[in-house]
Amino acid sequence: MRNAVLVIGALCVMAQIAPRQPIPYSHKIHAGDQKLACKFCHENKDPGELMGIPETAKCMGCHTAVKKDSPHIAKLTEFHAQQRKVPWIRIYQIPSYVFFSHKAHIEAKNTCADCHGPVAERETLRKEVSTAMGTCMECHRAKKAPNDCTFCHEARN
Amino acid sequence: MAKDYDVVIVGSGASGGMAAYILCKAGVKCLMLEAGPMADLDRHKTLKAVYELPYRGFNKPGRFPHITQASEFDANMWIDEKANPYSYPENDPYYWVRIRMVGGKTLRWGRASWRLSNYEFKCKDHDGFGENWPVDLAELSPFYDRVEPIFKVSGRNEGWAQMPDGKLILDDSRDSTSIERFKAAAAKLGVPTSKPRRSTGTLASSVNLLLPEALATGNLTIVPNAIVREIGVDSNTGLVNAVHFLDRRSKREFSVPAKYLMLGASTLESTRLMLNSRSRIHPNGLANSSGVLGHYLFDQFYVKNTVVAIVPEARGGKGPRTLMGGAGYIPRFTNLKHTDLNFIRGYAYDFHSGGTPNAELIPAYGEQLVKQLADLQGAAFSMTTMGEGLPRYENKVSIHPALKDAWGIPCLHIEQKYTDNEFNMAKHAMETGAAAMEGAGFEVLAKHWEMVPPGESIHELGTCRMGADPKKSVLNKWNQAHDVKNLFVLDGSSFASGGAQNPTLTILALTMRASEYLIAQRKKGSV
Repeated sequence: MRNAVLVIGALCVMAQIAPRQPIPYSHKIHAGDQKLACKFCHENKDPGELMGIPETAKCMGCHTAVKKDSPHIAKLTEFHAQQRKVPWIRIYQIPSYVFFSHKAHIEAKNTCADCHGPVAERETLRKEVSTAMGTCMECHRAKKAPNDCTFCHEARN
Repeated sequence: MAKDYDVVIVGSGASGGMAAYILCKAGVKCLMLEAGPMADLDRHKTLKAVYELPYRGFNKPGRFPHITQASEFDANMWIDEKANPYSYPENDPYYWVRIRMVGGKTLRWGRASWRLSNYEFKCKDHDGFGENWPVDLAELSPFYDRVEPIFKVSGRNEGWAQMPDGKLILDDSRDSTSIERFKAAAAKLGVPTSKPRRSTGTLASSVNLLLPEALATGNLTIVPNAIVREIGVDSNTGLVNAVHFLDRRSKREFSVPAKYLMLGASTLESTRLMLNSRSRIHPNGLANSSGVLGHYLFDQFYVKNTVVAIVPEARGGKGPRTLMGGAGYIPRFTNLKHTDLNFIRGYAYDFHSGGTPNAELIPAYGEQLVKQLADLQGAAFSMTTMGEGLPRYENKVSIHPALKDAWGIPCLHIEQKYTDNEFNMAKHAMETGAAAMEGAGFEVLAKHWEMVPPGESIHELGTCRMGADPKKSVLNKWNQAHDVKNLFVLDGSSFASGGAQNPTLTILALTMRASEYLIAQRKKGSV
C-alpha cells in the first residue's frame, strides 16, 4: 500500500520523459531562433476547442528550399509526397470528460507557455506542465475564473 | 494476524482515513481493515471508449439496479449488488449506493464541504423536533478549522448563522451575467445566494490527503479485501476484544485482537456490523442497550432539476461565457426565525448556468426535437433541491432473517419513507425556485418536486446516533459507545440530525475530535 501511494504521488509530479518523435522537430529552432508564432503552425479553427497540428504542406512551404538535404527533411518530404500524416506522438491531452477550449483561454489572455511551458526554448518536448485538475483549478483561482464543476464538466442529471 | 496493534480501524474512507491520520501521527499503531481492494487510480480515472463496452455504457442488467450513479465506464468502482444484496419493503424502495475500495466513497464524492450550524446541532431547542446533538458548533469549530485546509476547501464566507464561515480558499471568481441576474431576483425574494463550497485539488480523497501521511509514520498497516463479519467482545466486561473478518477473494476467515475499535465502515455498514455482533452481554446488537441502534435513519432528499429554465438571450447558441456558465449555492433560508410554513427545517439548492436541457423536457419528437435541442444548447439554468429529511424512529434498518451476502454475512432490511414534512418542503422549493427564475427573466421550461428514492443522495445518516441520554442514543459526544467504552463509531451513522448540508466535512471533523479524545484518554488510562 505504502509503495502504491508513493508511486501514485510520484506519477503525479514526475516530469515526463520526452518521447522519441518520428522526425526530430525542434521548437527551439522554429519558435525560438526563427521566432515563428505558435499560431503560424498551430491553427485554432472554429469552434476553437483544439489547436491544430500542421499539415506537411505547411512544413514544405519552407522546407522545399530550407535544409532539403537533411535526412529528416527527406523523411518529411516522403510523408508529404505520399500524402501521409506524420505520426507525431501527442504530449498533452485533456480527458474526454473535460470541456476545454483553446479559444476561450487565448481570449482570456493566457499564453501558450502557461500550459505548455517554455516551448520556444526546447529542442525536444515533454510534458512540463501538469494538466491535472488541481493545476487547472489553481490557475482558475488565481485568475478569478470560475471553478465550479459544471464550468469544465458536463452536468449530471 | 499476530502483530499487536493499539487500534483497529474498519473502513478507509473519510472517517477511517481521518482516524488513521490522527492516530498514527500521534504514535498509535493502527490496523486498517478495508472490505475492498486497493484503488488503482489510473485504471479508475481513465474512461474506456464506448465501443469497448459490451453494453455501450449502460451496464450489464442487474448489476447495479439501485446505483443510478454507476455506468459501464466506471463499473469496477461500485459494489456488485448481486454479491451484496439488501432488502426493503415492496413499495418503498431504498437506493443504497456503496463503494468498497481503499479510499471508500471519498474517491467519488461531490466534494461539497459545508459545516453544520447550531440550527442542526441544537435543532430540538429551535423547533422542538428530534434530539439535540451533544455537541455544538463552538465545540466542533476548531476541528472544522483544521479539516478545511487539509481538503483545500474553496468558497466564500458570508457570516450567515445557518452557513457557518470556514477556513476557506477564497472563491472570488466573477459570476456570469445569468448568475448575477438570478442572484438579484433571489435577493428580492429574501433568498440568500453564495458560491459553491468544495474541496479542491486533482483528487480530494482519503487516498491522497490522509492515508499517505498515516502510512509515512510507519504506524499504519492496511489490509484490503478484509470483509468484517463480526465484532467480538469479552464475555465478562462486554468490551470489544476482537474483530473477525473474511478475505474477500478466498473467503478464508481471520481474527485480530482489538484493544480499541474505530468503526468507519459507512453509515449503514457500521450499523449492520453492530447488529450482527450479538452476544450474551449485547443480545440486541453491540452497544444497543438503548434499543435505538438501527433506528432514526434519515438522509437529505434530492429533487434533481427542481426547476429548469432557459435564458432567452442564450438561445440559438448565443450563450457566451460572459452570459452563461457558473454555479452557486443557496443555503437553508426557511424557518430560521418564524415558522408559518407547513413544514419545519429547510432545504438548500445548487444552481447551475449553461447546460442543455434533457430531451425529455422538450415536448417534441424527431427533427423538431433536434432543432429545439440545437436552439437550447448551453442555454439552460437549473436548480437542484437538497432537503432535510427528519430522523424518525420508524425509519430504520434491521437484520434480514434469511438474506445473506456472498460471504454468508446477514444483510440489511432498510425501511425509510419520506413524510408530509419532506413533501411540503419539496413543493415549497419548487415554487420558490421557479419564482426566482421568472424574476430573473428566464423562461421556466419545467418544474417538479418528485424526489429521488431515499438513499440515492448517498447522504444516509443516523442509525447509531450520538446523544446526551444513553437511553435515547448509542454514542456519547465523543462518538464513543455509551455501553462499550473501547468502541468508537465515526461515520455518518453517528448523526442526530443532518440539515441540508453535505455531511462529509462533519464526519471528518467529528472523527478528528474523537481520535484526539481517544489519544488523550489512553494517556490518562481512562479508556
